[in-house]
Amino acid sequence: MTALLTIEDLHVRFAAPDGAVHAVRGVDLEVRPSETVALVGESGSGKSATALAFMGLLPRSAEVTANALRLGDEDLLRDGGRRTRRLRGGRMAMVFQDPLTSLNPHLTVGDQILEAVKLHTDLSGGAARARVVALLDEVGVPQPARRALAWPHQLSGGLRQRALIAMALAGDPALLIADEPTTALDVTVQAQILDLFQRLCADRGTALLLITHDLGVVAAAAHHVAVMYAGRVVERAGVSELFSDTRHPYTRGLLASIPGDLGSRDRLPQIAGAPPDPLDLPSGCPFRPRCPEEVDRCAEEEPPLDGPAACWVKGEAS
Amino acid sequence: MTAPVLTIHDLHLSYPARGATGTVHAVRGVSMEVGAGEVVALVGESGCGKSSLARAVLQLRRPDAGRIVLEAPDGPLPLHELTGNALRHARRWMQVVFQDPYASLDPRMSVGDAVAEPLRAFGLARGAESRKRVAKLLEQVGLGSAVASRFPHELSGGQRQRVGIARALAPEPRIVLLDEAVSALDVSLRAQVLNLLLDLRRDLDLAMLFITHDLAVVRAIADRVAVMYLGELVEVGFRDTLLRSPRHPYTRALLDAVPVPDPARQAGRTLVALGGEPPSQESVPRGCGFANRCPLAEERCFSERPRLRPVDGTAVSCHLA
Ligand SMILES: Nc1ncnc2c1ncn2[C@@H]1O[C@H](COP(=O)(O)OP(=O)(O)OP(=O)(O)O)[C@@H](O)[C@H]1O
Ligand SMILES: Nc1ncnc2c1ncn2[C@@H]1O[C@H](COP(=O)(O)OP(=O)(O)OP(=O)(O)O)[C@@H](O)[C@H]1O
Ligand code: SF4
Ligand SMILES: [Mg+2]
Ligand SMILES: [Mg+2]
Repeated sequence: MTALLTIEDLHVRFAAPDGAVHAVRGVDLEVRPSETVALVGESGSGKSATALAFMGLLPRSAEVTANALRLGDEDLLRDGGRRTRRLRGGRMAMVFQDPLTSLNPHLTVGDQILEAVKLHTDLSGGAARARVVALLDEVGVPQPARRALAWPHQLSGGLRQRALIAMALAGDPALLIADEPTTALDVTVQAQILDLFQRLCADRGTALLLITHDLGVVAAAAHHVAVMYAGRVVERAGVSELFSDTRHPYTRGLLASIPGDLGSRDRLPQIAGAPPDPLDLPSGCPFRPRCPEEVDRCAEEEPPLDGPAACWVKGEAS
Repeated sequence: MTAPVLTIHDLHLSYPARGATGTVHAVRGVSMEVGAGEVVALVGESGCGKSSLARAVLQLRRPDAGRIVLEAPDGPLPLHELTGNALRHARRWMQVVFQDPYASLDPRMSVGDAVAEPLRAFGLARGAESRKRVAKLLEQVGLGSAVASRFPHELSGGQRQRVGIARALAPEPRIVLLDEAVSALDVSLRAQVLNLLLDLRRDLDLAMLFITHDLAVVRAIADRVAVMYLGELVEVGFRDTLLRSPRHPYTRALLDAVPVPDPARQAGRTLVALGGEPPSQESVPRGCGFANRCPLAEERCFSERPRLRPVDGTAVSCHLA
């Protein structure tokens, strides 16, 4: 099946006072219909920048280049972003990491969803309003008809996030990009949202790119996983292989950092060293200063992602 | 025994409801204590009133009723009675990290200035000394001092959240309230920040009220756990006891819903452990707030409101516990 989301060799650079931040350094990614791909990785590794670049939502100051950005067979690079703007909110939609900043404080939650419904469907009047309430209900907002009348600041963090998910679903998207959609949610609601996503994938064939920090969420919801470090995908695997046959030393460190069943009062396991400074990446492999496996070659040349992992020591397919 | 750093007594907070005349009862009679150097985790469903509790404790929104006493180095401070400068100074000892880091950082202030601001405001450091402390704080939260010249919109979600943590730790408070403060961090970085907090707790007796939905975090750092539902505490106990043998049916449902980082084990589980939805906070039920979703509910649960009472060393608010 052809992919619904295709990203080839994506680069994103931000101008900073002390030099350019090369936030995304050649990312390749594919998501097929009915499939959930989890994008995980360190804070600052370029996950949001990758998603925002695809959606055409980075500030003008960001420099974006790619070999290909495609939604199905629509080429998003061709007409200077016009096609991206037309498809956004309709065939492709995004749920953001900061729920408060992505809602308009001067409109009720229901009116914001209503705008999206009117813009991306043929519904109007009472039918459109009924759709708003149905969407809020679908994402598990209690008393949806009343909640539709609320202002964003009157909702808890979790309710705001669910309202945003409802808005993203308004245009019945074929591709949904969700940037940490459950970070602000408690586990019972998180379970409901993940369940909703699974139903969207299964019933409507929605393709889902799910950015998350939570490896429990990855295990519960993803089919494939891409792990990012310092602006690159450093490991790519089916979800069970990622956990059972972990390759990249960064991914191993991540899995080892999961607190055990009942923690003692000892320190928690963490990956040694600090995240890399994007303005001053180490030579060779960017994970090298923190890596327990390092060999000479690691300092000389950055490992490519030819097999399952971008690593000189652990990168070969078994 | 030394006095608790923070004592919350019978706290109530409500908001005017949208539109009509009703009232949203967000916090309904919460009492709890946090001891010096103690870490209390506050968990509960989205919308149950955790952030409202934090806002009321900090007096960012005046509670309808309730006493809040903060034990400062030179004596107890009744926050519910303080206003103006007295309240501002008291806040040095109780800092907060908010859930939504973007909304709580001034977009026009550089990261370095944002972290230096409390040092200046409380007269703790200026000039070179201030810059040195800011650099150290940024280092400690895993940011590196290079970010000092950058602005909030130039940072990733997790980087912003760490700026909030550095800023809260700057005036060396006795207690920090952390509202989902580490949720946006990957596990390794989260471990690094939690380790930093645990070090501070050991070295400075820093106490924490840790609002989180992440039970892995609870496991890792809490001494005690308080479970909130519909504006009330329904279970409060020592971490291991509460996690091993949860007494309240809601606590059980909460623990069941935690996804495990293991696809094989995950495959055999149903995700949704708890159906239904909590009742409206505008018309809180007469009986137990959880009764309409509770698998154990009996007639009494719908008519009579349970109160927190001790059961085997844990406090539980359930008729059947
Ligand atoms: N508008 C911007 N201007 C300058 N730098 C930026 C901007 N947005 C992001 N960056 C930088 O680009 C890098 C990647 O950021 P991004 O937001 O993609 O990270 P992320 O992987 O989503 O992290 P997190 O998990 O913390 O959200 C970071 O170093 C960040 O500081
Ligand atoms: N300014 C406000 N006006 C009216 N209602 C409000 C206001 N702020 C919060 N509420 C309501 O009060 C209740 C408690 O909200 P609160 O933000 O304390 O929940 P929470 O436990 O922090 O949830 P979350 O985990 O989703 O952040 C919610 O029903 C919310 O909609
Ligand atoms: S390439 Fe070398 S430094 Fe990088 S992860 Fe592999 S072993 Fe470690
Ligand atoms: Mg991000
Ligand atoms: Mg909250």
